[in-house]
Amino acid sequence: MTPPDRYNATYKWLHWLLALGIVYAFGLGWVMTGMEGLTPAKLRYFSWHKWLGVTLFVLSVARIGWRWLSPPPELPATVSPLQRRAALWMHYALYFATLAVPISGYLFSLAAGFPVVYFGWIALPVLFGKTPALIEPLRLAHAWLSYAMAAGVLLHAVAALVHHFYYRDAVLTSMLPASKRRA
Amino acid sequence: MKFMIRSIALLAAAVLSASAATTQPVRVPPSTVTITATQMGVPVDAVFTKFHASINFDPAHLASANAQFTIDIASFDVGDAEYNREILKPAWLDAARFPTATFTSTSMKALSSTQIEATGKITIKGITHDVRFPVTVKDGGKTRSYDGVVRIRRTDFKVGTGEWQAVDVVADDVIIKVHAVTATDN
Repeated sequence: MTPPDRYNATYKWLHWLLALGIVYAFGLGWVMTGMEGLTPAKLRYFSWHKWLGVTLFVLSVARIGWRWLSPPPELPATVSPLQRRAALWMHYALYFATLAVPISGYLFSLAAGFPVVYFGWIALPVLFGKTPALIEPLRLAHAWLSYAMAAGVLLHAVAALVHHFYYRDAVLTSMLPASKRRA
Repeated sequence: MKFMIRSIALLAAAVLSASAATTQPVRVPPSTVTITATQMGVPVDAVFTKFHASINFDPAHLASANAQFTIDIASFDVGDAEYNREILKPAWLDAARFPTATFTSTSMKALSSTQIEATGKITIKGITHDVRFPVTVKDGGKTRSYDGVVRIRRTDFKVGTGEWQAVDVVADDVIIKVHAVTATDN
C-alpha cells in the first residue's frame, strides 16, 4: 500500500480542532491563573478550561487512534533523514503532551478537592479525594508540561512554515484544507 | 428495712434518670462540620475546623433534649489559602462583623430507633432562619455520635452578595454536614 500524499479529512479535522483548542486552553489557563482574588469570571474560566481540557483529551485519544489506523503521508523525498527523525519524534512528543497535559490537570484538580464535572453535567471519576500533599507537585507538573507543549507547538508551527516558505515543499499544504491545495 | 431499700433504689433511679440527660460537650476532634457548595455543577467541600457545641440527649426524654453549636467562621478551610481569605470577606461570610454562626435546637422528635428530627434556629451573618433536619444517632458504648445533614440556601443568609448573588456560578443550595461525638452520660 502506498502512503497517501496528503493527510485525509479526519486527520485535518482532528489536527485543527486540537490546534485551536490547545491555543485557547493555554491562553485561558494563562489568564485565569493570573487573576487576583475570587470572581465569578475566574471560576467560569476555570470550569471552561477543565471542560476544554477533557474535550482535548478525547480528541487526542481519537487522534492517536487515527494515526494508528490510517497511515500518515510520507514526507517529501527532499527531507533529510535527520529531519525525518526529528519530525517523527516531535510528533510523538506532541501526542504524549496532548495526553499528559490534560491528565496532569485533571489529577491536579482532584488533589485540590475540585472534581471535574464535564459541562457542569457529567461527573467524571473522582479517582482520589482532596490530597493537600499532591497539590503543589501536580500544579508544577501541569504547568511545566503545558509550557513544554507550548514550546513544542511553536517549534512544530515554525518547522511547517520553514517547509513551506524556505524549502517550498508540500509539508504544510498536506495538512491544509483541500481548497488551498496547489496544483 | 425492705421499705428503706426500696426507697434508696427509687431515689437512685430518680437520680440516674435525672443525670441521664446531662449536657455533654461535643468533642473536637473527632467531630466535624463540613459544608458542600456547588460551583458550576462541581461539589466542593470545605470545613470549619473550630467550633464548640454541646448536646443534651436522652432517647427516653426527647422532650428535654437540646443541642447548641457555635462555629468559628474564621476557621473556614476549603484547602486553598487565597480562597479561604476571600470567603471570609464581607461578600461571603464577613468574619470580621459576624465571627460566629450558631445553631440552637428548639425541639427533637424520634423518626425511628436510630433517627431523630431536629428543629431549631440557625444564624449565619446575623440572619436567623428555622431549620429542620434528620439526625442519625449511633451509640458506641462510651461515646455517642450524631450525624445531621442540614440543607440551606446561601442567599437566605446573604452569603454571596453583589456579583455572587446570581446562583449560576455558585449554586444557592448548600449542604451542612455535622458529625458530632459526645460521651454518653453513664
